[in-house]
Amino acid sequence: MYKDGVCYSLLIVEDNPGDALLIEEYLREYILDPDLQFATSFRQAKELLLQEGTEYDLILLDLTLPDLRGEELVKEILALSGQVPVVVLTGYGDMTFSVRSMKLGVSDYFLKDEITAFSLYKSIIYNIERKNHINELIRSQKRYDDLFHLSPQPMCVYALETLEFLDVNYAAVNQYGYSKEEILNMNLKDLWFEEERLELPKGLQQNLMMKPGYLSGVYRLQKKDGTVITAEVHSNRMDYDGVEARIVLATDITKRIAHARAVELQNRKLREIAWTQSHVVRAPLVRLMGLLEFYKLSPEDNPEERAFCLQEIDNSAQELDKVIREISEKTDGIDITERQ
Amino acid sequence: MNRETLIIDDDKIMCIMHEKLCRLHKLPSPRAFTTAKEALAYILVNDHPGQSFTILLDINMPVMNGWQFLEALGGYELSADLYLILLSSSIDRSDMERAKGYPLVDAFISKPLNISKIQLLLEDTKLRERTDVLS
Repeated sequence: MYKDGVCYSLLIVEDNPGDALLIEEYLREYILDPDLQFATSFRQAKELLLQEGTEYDLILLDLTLPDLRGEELVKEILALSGQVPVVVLTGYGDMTFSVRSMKLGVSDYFLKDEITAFSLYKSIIYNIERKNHINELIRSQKRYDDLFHLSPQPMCVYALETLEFLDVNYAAVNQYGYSKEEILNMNLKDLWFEEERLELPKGLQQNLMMKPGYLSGVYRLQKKDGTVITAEVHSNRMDYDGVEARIVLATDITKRIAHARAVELQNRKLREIAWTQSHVVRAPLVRLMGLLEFYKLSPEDNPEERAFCLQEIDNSAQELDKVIREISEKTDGIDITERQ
Repeated sequence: MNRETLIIDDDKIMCIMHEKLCRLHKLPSPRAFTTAKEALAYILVNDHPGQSFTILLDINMPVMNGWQFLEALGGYELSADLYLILLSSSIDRSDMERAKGYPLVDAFISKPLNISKIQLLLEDTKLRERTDVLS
């Protein structure tokens, strides 16, 4: 006969020792070596569930325990079980409630008199697998949710029809200075730069009509404190719980632009300096060199010409000094980090 | 043949020095102009067959710079024979490249003009023929 070799860890909460024994026998018919824990009261079950390091694959729960029963018991156990599936065992009298307990989060139920070894085994396997799938789905949903909410890039979702924000992530909240609640009560236009708010609808109206996919552009937006930022905006159409929406990524490029401008300015000044070096600085230097040559050619018996030379050499040196000072003043004007 | 050497430079001191260097190397009748316009007017007035001008032209000058002077001069059909030396105080290579685009320019030197540079220029027989040494 076939036996499942997986060592399932099961918690059986049952106060009737006869029923507990029967269940164990049924289990062992199809499971080679189950790891079984027994509790005969809610209090005991709670203790076992709260024990550190114990993880069950499934809980089998009798609905009538000496210290707790029915709906209250189911709720308490579900609160303690976390992700572990719970399968309820009842007598005929509780059948209506058993069906209702499924709504509370119970995975399956059995009428004790109808249990067979096979149906119990099948239910256990099925519910463990189903719970795994559900948990994986929840994890994957959370993963995608986190990708949006924890993304370092400011993102939001707005409804295409009303322009109202449907969701916004933490980075966007930080960027604009509004709280998440405030943003969710605003619409797209409220983030636009005040002076440009009137022009906005035209482009967006078109946007509404054509419903394009990916779009991008650079816009001026305004923070809560009034600061205007330049943002590079990328957006795409999406379905948000059945609402036609756009997901928007808006990166603040104010600093990047200021930086690029500062670099451009610096480059222009460097070109100016290079030109000055080559032309303006060299002019008095050239004269100086020429005058020295001239001085060497002057006859010693011509003191007037020599004095003229020396005077002009001095003038040229002064001029050279002045030009160099001017260049250094020009370079002082460049500061990339401080510019806005 | 009437030969003259024209020095065009807005810097008066440069003019004086270049005049002296020209005399030393027997470049004929050096005459200095501190504006390109005056020099242009002088050339146009004295332009006739048998006239020869050796021109030392500075590039950076106010009002009319060396390039503008070249453009203006190129617009006339002159009878006089010209030999033009472009003088630049810059060490900017672009000036030298630009000078190549002007057929009027016979030589390009960076300032300051000195004895060795003039000697180098005089290796060009076309210029040497214009000095008073051979005449």
